[in-house]
Amino acid sequence: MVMSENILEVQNIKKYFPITGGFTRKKKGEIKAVDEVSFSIKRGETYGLVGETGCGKTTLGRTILRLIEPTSGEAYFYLSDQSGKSPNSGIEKKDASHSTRSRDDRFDIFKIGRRNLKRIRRYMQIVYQDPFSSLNPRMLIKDIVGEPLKIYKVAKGVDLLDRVTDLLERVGLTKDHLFRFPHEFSGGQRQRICIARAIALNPTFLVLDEPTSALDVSVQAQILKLLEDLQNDLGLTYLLITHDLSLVDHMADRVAVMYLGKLVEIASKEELFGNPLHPYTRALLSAVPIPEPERRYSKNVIFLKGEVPSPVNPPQGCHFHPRCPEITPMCKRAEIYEPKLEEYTPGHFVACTKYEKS
Amino acid sequence: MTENVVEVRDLKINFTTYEGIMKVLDGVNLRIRKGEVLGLVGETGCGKTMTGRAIMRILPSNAIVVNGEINFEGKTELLKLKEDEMRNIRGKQISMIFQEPRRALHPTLNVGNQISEVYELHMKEEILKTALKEMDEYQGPFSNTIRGIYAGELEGKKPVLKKIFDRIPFLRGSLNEPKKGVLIDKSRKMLGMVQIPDPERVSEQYPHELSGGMMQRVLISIALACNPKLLIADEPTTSVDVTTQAKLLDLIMDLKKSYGGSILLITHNLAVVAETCDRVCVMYAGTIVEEAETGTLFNEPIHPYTKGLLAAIPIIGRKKELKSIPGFVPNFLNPPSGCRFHPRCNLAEEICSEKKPSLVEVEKGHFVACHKLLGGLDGDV
Repeated sequence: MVMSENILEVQNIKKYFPITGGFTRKKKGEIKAVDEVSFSIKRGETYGLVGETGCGKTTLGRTILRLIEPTSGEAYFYLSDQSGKSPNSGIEKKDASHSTRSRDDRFDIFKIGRRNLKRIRRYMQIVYQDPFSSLNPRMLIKDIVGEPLKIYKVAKGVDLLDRVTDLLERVGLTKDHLFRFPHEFSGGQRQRICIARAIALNPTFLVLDEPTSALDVSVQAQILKLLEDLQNDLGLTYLLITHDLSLVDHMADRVAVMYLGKLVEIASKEELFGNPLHPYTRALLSAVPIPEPERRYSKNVIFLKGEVPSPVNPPQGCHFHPRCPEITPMCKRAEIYEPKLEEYTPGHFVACTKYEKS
Repeated sequence: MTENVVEVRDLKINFTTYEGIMKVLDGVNLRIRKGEVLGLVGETGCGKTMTGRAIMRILPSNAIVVNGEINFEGKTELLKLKEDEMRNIRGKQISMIFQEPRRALHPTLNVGNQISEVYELHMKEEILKTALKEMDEYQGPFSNTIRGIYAGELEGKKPVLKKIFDRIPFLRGSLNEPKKGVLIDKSRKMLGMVQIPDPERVSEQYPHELSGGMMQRVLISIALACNPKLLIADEPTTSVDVTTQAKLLDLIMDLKKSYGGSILLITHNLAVVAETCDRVCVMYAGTIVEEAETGTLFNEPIHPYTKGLLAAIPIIGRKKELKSIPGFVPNFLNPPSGCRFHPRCNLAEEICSEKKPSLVEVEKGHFVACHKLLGGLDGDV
């Protein structure tokens, strides 16, 4: 694998939340929110992460930024100098990287100490789901957007205010908004403020956790446009966490599908939407309503049996097998083993017994 | 011509708030035909839910109906009814599925009780008749007395004996046993109808024990308990995932086929509308701006707002650049004069800010409220 292409590599990451109860707060069980997930994100791409409510996608997003401490696993974040961004110099760097890579360009997110973590945090930021609860209602906009700049001592005083104004203008707000409180803004404007705060320190990697789920379609289109423009201008890499498949189709380059704490399929966007392999992905795709009335009758929705099982006690073997419409005798015997994510065709990974080469 | 189940004419509703008067609905015209699914689409805060609640007459206490009529089945004026007359229609003839099932269900009543409550209130005669029919199998005490009382109640006599019984502690409720049996059966049947597995167990459960999709099914079964003529579904699938959404929509459409009522589907999701509705009304800032058959609306939209909305949604498998509508939804305290869309409209001219366009039939069944299409002639047509 070519290391320098990736900005983030995640290996076997696990996050179990303990369930405690009783007077002694004894541990009664575990919620397996993220269960052995591995993937890597290439520099400059938009990586989509789709799944239904409660499948662990937000937990995964926060864990790789170490906003939540993981139970186990490894995550590496690669920092590049500015020259690493152009494709020509990237090749030279690749040759050099194995031998002379300094310890500073690769960071083990889960092991580094606080000081180093602070150093790399400025390069990886997050835009939260709900713009109504992610802005402090008692802070002025200039303080909200200026806070990261202050913490990293990038700017002070008048200079700080100039920087904040620039940021606001970049996301489509104006100078007049500097001395206002969050409650004076609409949902779309608040999300713009969140984005301004996230890009304040010129990050290279941005986690977008359902950036538009609280917004209306016309505003959603504005925010998506803004995010695309920012990606082009600043060379950002996105991890787009969402439940909306049409959004992924519009934005992402590669897509990972998550079900009950596990990744079930990873593929490029074209491959995933054109040739979905995993039965869950197929069911998910068939369930998406299409805003074209002519296609209403030509479509076969695959209905899944039952509901998503609890992550406290996920089904043995393949997590999807109790609901799977294409269940084989193999899957029923899957108590013995779980299907692993394997490369079926180049670049297309799927975790299903049907596609295992054995 | 198919007749209308509900016809809303020029409905204007104001809210009095501390900041002033909010003109939430500004002349809404809506016709829901018998047996059709009408979609009402619009963005957050455009007044979709208020329209639905106005038909049900469950508006918030600070709402004032300034103007307008809501006609039910061509004879009843809903806005002129007394509260107790309205109560007979609400839940029986017109019922509603609310947006957030978690908030719409009573947290301390079990699901079975919540379903049978509606039925008990509206279908007294049916319950008595079925109870009488099933009396032969009833083994409990007082079977003859109960039979007498129920027959009397059917004829309209007041159940004096029942009142006496209710005063005596160990006899209390004993005369209601057969009725209760009917209600329990009914609630289980309703749960089965909305495809909830194991209705016996679920009817004993409380809302917090159910998932979002299950709760929405319970709400649907409550709404359909009395076979209403109109079902108002207010964002029935907003709080659930796509796979559940597909199942719920399929269920609602199936049930509609079997009981044959009309549905007013209120949603912000154009894709859901495309998949389910016969006709669509697009709403913007308290007015209907376009009304058409689903196919016509999606393929040949006329109003600039509808066009904007359709251009703003990403579609799977269609590479296109999303176009957004500039600006924001206007403030209802001080809405733009004339056409409320004109500050965001790229076709706006002088007349748009002066006069409110009315809904005009452009071609058969396709209504649009816009000055530009008519060369400013609107109003004289």
